[in-house]
Amino acid sequence: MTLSKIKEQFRGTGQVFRFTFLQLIKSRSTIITMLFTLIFAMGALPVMTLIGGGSAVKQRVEVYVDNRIGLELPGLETRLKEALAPTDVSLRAGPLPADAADAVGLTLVENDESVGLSVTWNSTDSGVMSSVYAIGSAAYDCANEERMKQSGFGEKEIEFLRRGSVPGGMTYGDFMSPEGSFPFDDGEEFDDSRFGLQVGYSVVIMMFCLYSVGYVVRSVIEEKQSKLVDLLMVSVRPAALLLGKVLAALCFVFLYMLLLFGGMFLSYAVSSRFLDLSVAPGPVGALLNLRPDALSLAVIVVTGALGCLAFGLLGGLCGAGCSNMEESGGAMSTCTLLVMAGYMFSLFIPVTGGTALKVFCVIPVLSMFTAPLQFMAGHIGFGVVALSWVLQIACIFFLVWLNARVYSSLIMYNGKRLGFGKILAMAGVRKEERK
Amino acid sequence: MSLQVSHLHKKYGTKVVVEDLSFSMEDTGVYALLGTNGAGKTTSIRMMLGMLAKDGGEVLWNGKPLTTDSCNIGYLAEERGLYPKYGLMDQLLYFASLRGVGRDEAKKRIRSLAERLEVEEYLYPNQPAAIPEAGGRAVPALGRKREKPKLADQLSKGNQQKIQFMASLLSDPELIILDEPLSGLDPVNTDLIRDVIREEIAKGKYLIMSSHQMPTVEEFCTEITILNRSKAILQGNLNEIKKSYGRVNLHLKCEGDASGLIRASGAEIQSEKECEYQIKVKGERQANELLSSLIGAGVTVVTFDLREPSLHEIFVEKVGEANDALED
Repeated sequence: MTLSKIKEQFRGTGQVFRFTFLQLIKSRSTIITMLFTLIFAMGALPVMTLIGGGSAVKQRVEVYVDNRIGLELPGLETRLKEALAPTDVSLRAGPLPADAADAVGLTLVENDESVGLSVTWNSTDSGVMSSVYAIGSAAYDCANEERMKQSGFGEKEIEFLRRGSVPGGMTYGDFMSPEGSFPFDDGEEFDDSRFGLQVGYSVVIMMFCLYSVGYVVRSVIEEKQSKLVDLLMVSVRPAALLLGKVLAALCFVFLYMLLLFGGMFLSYAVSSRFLDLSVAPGPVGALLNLRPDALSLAVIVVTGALGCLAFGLLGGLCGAGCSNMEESGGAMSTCTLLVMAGYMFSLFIPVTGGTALKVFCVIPVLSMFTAPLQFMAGHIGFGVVALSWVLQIACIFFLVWLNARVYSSLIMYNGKRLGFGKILAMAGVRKEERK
Repeated sequence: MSLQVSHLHKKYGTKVVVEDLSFSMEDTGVYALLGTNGAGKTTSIRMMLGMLAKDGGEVLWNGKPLTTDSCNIGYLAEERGLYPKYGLMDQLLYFASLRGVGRDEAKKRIRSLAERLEVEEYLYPNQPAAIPEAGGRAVPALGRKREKPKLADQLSKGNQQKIQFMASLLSDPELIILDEPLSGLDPVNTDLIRDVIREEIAKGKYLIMSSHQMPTVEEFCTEITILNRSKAILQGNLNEIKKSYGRVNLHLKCEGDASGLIRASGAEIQSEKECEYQIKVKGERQANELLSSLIGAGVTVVTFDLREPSLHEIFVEKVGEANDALED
């Protein structure tokens, strides 16, 4: 096919995109939904934090340190500031005065074998009370490290002892295999936040895909049901008609997500000045702590866009096989199943490593759930991400080819819903069952 | 310019839906594609426009394959629709943009067609009906609440049809294909659309019309093809076809019963109502003999109208013959 013929196939895509996108944006229900989304996005974090036991953070906490262990603790102030961030901490020497409201007293005493600690307070403020554990823990670590230094331990030894060890398991065969890798051999600890981050990210991608597919399927069926196909087909090729819709749906969902996450991050930026956000639920907290650089952002956007484009094209095909809106659920089921499969598999990612992780990161559908996060974590290189893109693009080309073969026949079709198997048979990809 | 449709062929599985359809338009005018329901008219049109893949044949415009690139086509489909929840103006501007018409030009054409089809109130709810002179500016009536532009599903079916008809003409097409343009319209709206069709014919457009309204086809069309069960059973110039049948239809109205004299003349009474008869005669000679016998018998003749068969009659006769032949 020559370039001019390809160009002809897609002429009018821009007009279809502009019209579909503007109509989506102008719809009253969309405006109301977006408004509510913004309100919920901005309100959810403070509300979740307060419900989760968080409280208004004191801007300044005075800690009276009564050090009776005879050991200078030069790193204590830094430790306490790190532990209580963003609250400003100021240290005062001596016992906690009885009239010092909203202040905390930290008493360190020498036991036989260890440092004894007591943290006292006068306030009933829940913000002050919630910081008691953090103060105690930071002081204990600081005192222990200082004692280790006194005993002649170097920085490396102290760091090694601080990190501790995390148990992991694998078969003996895997352990002995030259390619076998310990699940957490990158030195990173397996913790809830890693799992939470994967869940949070996968939920976002799942929402993105399902929204895109939903809009494309409904849009295609609406056009068929409104009997507009004949009128449109005389002006624009089916490929342009579908691509314009898919791109409009993608942009709309992207805008929606931007609003959702923009609202959340704005809320985070404002709330973090007044609230203790450490109590935010795992996935949300993990997502909030995500600080992608420009390349990582590009990887997220490109991987997500390629995946959604593939799902949009698939949704368009499935939608074109329907004749009315009642059949839209059936049309979406193929896409929904794939998205759910991608989501479910992605949840295993935090417990995999090595080759398995790389394979999970390049398989089309699954890669959009896994590759960007693993790239950001440094578990896979850009080469693996690029390979996942190549495979995604191959899938998109296959779907474009499939659309070119059957889409025009499908959108003229007015009968019982055609499943994806029938559509493949129509395109000659698989043999039709003989009755 | 010319349109050549040659040997169009389409089948679904083993069922042939269009069989070897050929016709041509060498000059501007109206070509009628007639047929019984399911005869293959819409399928033929869809194949001509490239919406359906052809199993055989070709469609040429000026010797080149007919596409939206080679020809500016306006099409009013039999299956008509609009986006139910979108604004009418947005939709019309969208359809115009798909045909490559600029926004300003499209607005002018929409305004002009809206006036001719009397749908301004739905497209411009807040503007006075009168268009200001050049340089002037339309001002909404003061003190009136601003009305929202109508959505498609707020319009009656007839008005929706007029909007769809507008959409088909927005690109000022050189080839216009109208599939059942008047079906479901009341007489007032029928006349409005007929007037616009007349204007387009006067502008020198090529028009292909599929319709079951035979008087309309007779009014506009010069050439016809009648399809029955996927095959063309009659083709040619409408006047010549009619002439070939001769003047065999006699409308007779008398004061008093004339049925005996009519039967005696050998003519066949097709319908009779209060001394008004629709009679089939063998030719002008038999009609004249009947008139003489009526006058001779002292019967007062009020109406004596000898004419060629109507398109409706030709259609019914031809389809009947074709079906009889198939059954035999």
